[in-house]
Amino acid sequence: MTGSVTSAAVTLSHLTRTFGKVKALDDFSLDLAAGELVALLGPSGCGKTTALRALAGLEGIDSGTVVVGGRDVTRLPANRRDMAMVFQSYSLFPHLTVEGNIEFALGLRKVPSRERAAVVAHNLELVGLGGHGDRYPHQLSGGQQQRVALARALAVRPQVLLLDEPLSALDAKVRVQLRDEIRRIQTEVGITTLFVTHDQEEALVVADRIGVMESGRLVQVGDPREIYSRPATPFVADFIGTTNALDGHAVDGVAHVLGQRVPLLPGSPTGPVSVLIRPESITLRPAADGHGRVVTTGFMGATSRVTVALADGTLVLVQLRGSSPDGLLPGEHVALELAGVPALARRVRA
Amino acid sequence: MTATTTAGRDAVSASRPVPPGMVNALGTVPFFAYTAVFLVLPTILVVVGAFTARNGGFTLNGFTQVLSPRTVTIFGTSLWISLLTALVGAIAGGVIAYALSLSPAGSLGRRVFTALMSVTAQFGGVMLAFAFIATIGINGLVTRMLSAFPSLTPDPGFLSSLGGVAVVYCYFQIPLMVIVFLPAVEGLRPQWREATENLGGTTWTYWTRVAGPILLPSLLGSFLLLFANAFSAFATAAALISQQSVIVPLEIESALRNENDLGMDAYAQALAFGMIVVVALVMGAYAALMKRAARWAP
Repeated sequence: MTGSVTSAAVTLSHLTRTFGKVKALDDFSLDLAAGELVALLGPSGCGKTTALRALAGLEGIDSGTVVVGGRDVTRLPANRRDMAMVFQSYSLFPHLTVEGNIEFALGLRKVPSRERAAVVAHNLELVGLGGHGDRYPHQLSGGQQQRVALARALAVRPQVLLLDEPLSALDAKVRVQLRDEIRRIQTEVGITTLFVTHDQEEALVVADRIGVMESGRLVQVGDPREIYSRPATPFVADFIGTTNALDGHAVDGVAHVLGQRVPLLPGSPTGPVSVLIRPESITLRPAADGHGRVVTTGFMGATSRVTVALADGTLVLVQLRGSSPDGLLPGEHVALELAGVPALARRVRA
Repeated sequence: MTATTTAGRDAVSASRPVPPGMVNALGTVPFFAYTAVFLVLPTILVVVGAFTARNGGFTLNGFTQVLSPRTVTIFGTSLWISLLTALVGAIAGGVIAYALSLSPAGSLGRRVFTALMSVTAQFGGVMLAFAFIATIGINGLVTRMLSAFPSLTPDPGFLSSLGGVAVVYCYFQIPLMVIVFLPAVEGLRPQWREATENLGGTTWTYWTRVAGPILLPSLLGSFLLLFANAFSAFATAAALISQQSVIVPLEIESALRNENDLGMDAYAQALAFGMIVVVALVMGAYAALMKRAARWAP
């Protein structure tokens, strides 16, 4: 019981779930390889939590199938799916100690009491809370409570671990710490994990792959680098990271922007377009006859951010390595050099 | 001029600032004054009176009478009618409170129903007794309407019986339970049920190992409150049962009004003392329960 878990591959096929007139899941399909951590990312109401709950069996589906480890569990109730979940918050049983919470499911599985103690101790050590077994949940901080919730979930050695925005109720510093801990533990245990979050940074850091959702549909699945650098749709480009929308004209897979050529990613339209360019794909050069004027500069340690106002009033965010170069002060005229990194374009809105 | 200034300065330095704790304590004076006048003082008077004869001397006559078989029976009746109506109220009110907690918070139906419960929980005494008499009493509206159907007609003496009193008590016990228990069931988080299911538990597991233990202190606390509420009720029973003293408050009234035996004052006070002891035991049990729950309650 204290060893590694038996991870299982998961296949969600064509899931549909409607609440009234709202399609929370619209032909949603996703595969998770055994031991993989996939993050479902999207704005509030996009259906990511519904997808996770459908996998857990806590939410019914109108159509589709859920297969875990080769077994169709679509019709199985939540308590027979062999999964464990960490909720956003408040899921620990308040009347049980930390040990009691972790032992809870072990008792249901008739694990002998001697073995239970070993499992509790092992999992508490795993989440860095050894010695806290006799505390009650209200005696722990938010971060510690989520660690206990994670230990409780892992103690039963589930086939799949489900994380429903487990960090969103924590403050920024604890969030970063626990985020890294979750990744470490998931890698160490090797458990198949579905992680739901609306925080793109969280998803980029912890996930093997990211699935971006919009209006109940999975619009792109890929590894974090691919999602960031090769967004499939303007929505993904907008939602992941920061983008500048610069007017241009697209012909044969190349856009002409500010008199420069920018290669376009597949799926980009032709004709008048807005090209979505990352702030770090632009560099600046002082030039009296440049494209615009520096509005603000901000030092961020390893990088600096500069806002440039173009002649037509468009504001462009530029991220430079290191501190901003000498001479780049508010009011300075600068030229924008587009680094030629492939970008996605969208049709210009009328 | 100089002397006056010096004296003034001395006067200022002599007046020490009032500690903040003392200022805060002043705010509790009305509470303690109220408690002293309406709780402590009557209790002392009852306890002293229970041991005081009409001539001012010490007596145990009151307690001797309290221990008589008849009075013991009356205490027994009071206890079981209180326990019964508290039990019925706790179960029915608990189920209703849970059902109410499942309705959308702030919905019109929920607000209306909660308001209705608040009103009926306070609707006791002579008014309530009259409402029942006017409905299912000997000449009650329902009794008259059903007179053509003898098998459906309520027993005319039902309201004057202990069973009738228990039913009428339930009329305010159930709503009272709903009001006092609703916050506890509202505190049950959906995540606890889902976590139970997710960890392999069933609905039975949830109620017996999660929701049940979490609600138990509130449930027992509410039960004890209902018990005390019924145990001390007087007017409702007095209006329904005019010829007998079947419960302790009615016996106290009977003793105080007894014109044949002027030595019944000590007996009445001893009965009241007995009631205080019962309620004190109930409150002690409640405090012990709360202390136990406080280990895990935030």
